[in-house]
Amino acid sequence: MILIVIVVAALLCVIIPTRLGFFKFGKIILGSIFKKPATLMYPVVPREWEERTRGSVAIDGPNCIGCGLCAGACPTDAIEVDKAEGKWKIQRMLCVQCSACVDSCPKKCLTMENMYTLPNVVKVVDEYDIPAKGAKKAAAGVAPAEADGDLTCADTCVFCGLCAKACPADAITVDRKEKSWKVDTEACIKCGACIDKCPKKSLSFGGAAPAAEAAAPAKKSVASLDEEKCVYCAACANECGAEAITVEGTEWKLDEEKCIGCEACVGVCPAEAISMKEA
Amino acid sequence: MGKRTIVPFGPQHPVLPEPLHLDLVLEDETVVDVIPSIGYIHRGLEKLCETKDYNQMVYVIERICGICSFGHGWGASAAIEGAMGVEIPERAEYLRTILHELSRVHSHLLWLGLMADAFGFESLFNHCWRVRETVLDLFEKNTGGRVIFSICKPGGMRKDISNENLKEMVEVLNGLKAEIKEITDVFINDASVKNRMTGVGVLTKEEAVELCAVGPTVRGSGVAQDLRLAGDHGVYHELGFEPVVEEAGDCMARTIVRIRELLQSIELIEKAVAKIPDGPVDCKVPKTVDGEFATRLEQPRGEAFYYAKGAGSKFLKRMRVRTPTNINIPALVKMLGGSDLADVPILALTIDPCISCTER
Amino acid sequence: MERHTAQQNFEAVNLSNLISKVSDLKADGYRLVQICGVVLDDDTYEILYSFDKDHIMQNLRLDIAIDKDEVESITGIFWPAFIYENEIHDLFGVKFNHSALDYNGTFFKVSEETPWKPKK
Repeated sequence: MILIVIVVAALLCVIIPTRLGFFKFGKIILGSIFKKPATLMYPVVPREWEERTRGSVAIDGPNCIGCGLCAGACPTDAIEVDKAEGKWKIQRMLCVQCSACVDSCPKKCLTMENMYTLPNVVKVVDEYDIPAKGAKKAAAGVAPAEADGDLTCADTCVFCGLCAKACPADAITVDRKEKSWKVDTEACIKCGACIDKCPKKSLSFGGAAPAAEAAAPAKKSVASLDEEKCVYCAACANECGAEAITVEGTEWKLDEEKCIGCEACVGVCPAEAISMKEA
Repeated sequence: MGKRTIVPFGPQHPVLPEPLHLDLVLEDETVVDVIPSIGYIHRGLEKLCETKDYNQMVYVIERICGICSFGHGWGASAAIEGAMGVEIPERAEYLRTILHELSRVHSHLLWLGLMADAFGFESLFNHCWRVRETVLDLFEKNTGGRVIFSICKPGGMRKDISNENLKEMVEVLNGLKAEIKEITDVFINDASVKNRMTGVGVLTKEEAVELCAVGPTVRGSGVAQDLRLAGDHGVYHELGFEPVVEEAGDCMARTIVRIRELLQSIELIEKAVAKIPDGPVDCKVPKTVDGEFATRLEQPRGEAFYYAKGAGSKFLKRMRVRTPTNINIPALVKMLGGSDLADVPILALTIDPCISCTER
Repeated sequence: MERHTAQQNFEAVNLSNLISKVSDLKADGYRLVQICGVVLDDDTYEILYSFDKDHIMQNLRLDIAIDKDEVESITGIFWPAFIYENEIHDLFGVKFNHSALDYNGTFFKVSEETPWKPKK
């Protein structure tokens, strides 16, 4: 009886592997016996994140200006910005970690953390404090009413169009030829990106143009020509809002006094011959 | 003629992670007719283009499916770029090609695992997925996501991938080659696997063309149809791409097509990384979309169709995605006719069905 | 092989010559890529038929009046078209006549009838 069992078992040991192709797979199986497990002893061994791992959105509250661009960019409407109350809310269950909000933030106060939010039995809405409406300016000694005013441009404007380029909400239109500057006050989110960018410091909220000392930038940069590349097409001279560039024949001249460092000539040059340097 | 019985297959079935329903009309053990039925997870994502702007739409389209998510992101971006008339920088095309081929590697490894699982070879399934895990780690390192990458945008890529990281990617993939060959050798040469797949579910060349099948399903039947040949998107024309074609038309042929594509994709990535130019990865795009564009992309599962129609604002009038599984269902119905009931799960898997893609 | 943008070939058809156009394409060796419905305005749908031959796409545009026009099914020429025709029927409420495989509105399980039809 025992003998029969042994014979049958031995036969099975030979037939089954050959039939099932055990020997094809045998090397992998035998190899696996001596290898460490492919899995991680989670949570005893913590997971290591990559630098780019998208886990959860974090906000640097004090730097937020409550512009709401993140809420507009969010494909799932997970973010709500309440500027009056000074709250920035995110529904963690709705967030899909696409990081569209992080890309849209004009103040770079949103970041993508590696770690995901921990599991929970309720749908969490996280609230963060951000400066409430007018609070920042009030603290700085400016009357809130002034700080809340619409964006205005003083007549020192040279229509370089850098503000329009910087605007994350596309609220500004500048026509260099017509010498006109317009702001769509409905679209303006008052982030102040244009004010930071303006080379003439002509922009302000509520017409309270900053004092003259603010108009002097720390370092002035002016256009500089790479003569080897220049084709002397005079496109830069036509584009220059400050009329600082003159091109005659094969002579390119820049009036550094007039140059406002708006970089408009850099953008228009077909030969990419113009760059910016410190004056 | 035996008595006819109707056996419902799905929507919940161990072999299908997603709800596909087939009414199988049986005579004894043989399937004589099949009525497919879908629509259990229709989410109407295409309709969202009315309330989400075109940038957000790319994130939405990407989330149609977790396996071909990169391809969907690329397809949607390409359709929107086409409607705008924007041409993206060369480096972005290269990066898209590399990531798309990498997702083909991950998709085919996932499918091989599922296939092994369907015919009951559990340890083979685990080994396929173990190898796939390395590919997912590569994705996490380079894009930030393991499954949903969110790196494509209209106008190029949201992030650049450094040349060092790309070289490391090639090294890791070359290291995987030996393991992949070892595992796929089991699929091709193992006696039990052969018995289960050779000569099962034959789709002839004529039938495949007649039923408008796409992807590995049609290439397994001897038709050299591959959208990468068209040269509409990506840089395949610079990499010397040749489609993988098998003649037999059975389950085994479709499996071998995918196995060969797996190794081919790794080679394509290697060639692309060697040739990738430096430069910007995105370009400026208009704020509004006007005009329309219809385009296609070769996804791991086959040809996917994308159509974007602008409404002259930042919203689209229509964003249409037609996925490979959608058009492979008629081919599946044909394959099932005359097959054994026991082979139905394997045949259903052999088109690599993705029902969330199909219904969007 | 040169890099090029996908060719955009759109051709308008109408209800009367749809079937003959599709038959011609089939005879030329084209295969069906997809059919999709587009809402043009409150009264008009556009149905876009896409075909492919040697990786070049040919699209046919068919404009129909919502609730008025009925479309002849092309399932007699391309059988796989039943997937798209049933989908368009269930989501947009377009009626296709003489379909080879008509699900009569049960292809998609939708909670309300014709959810993508413009609400008036």
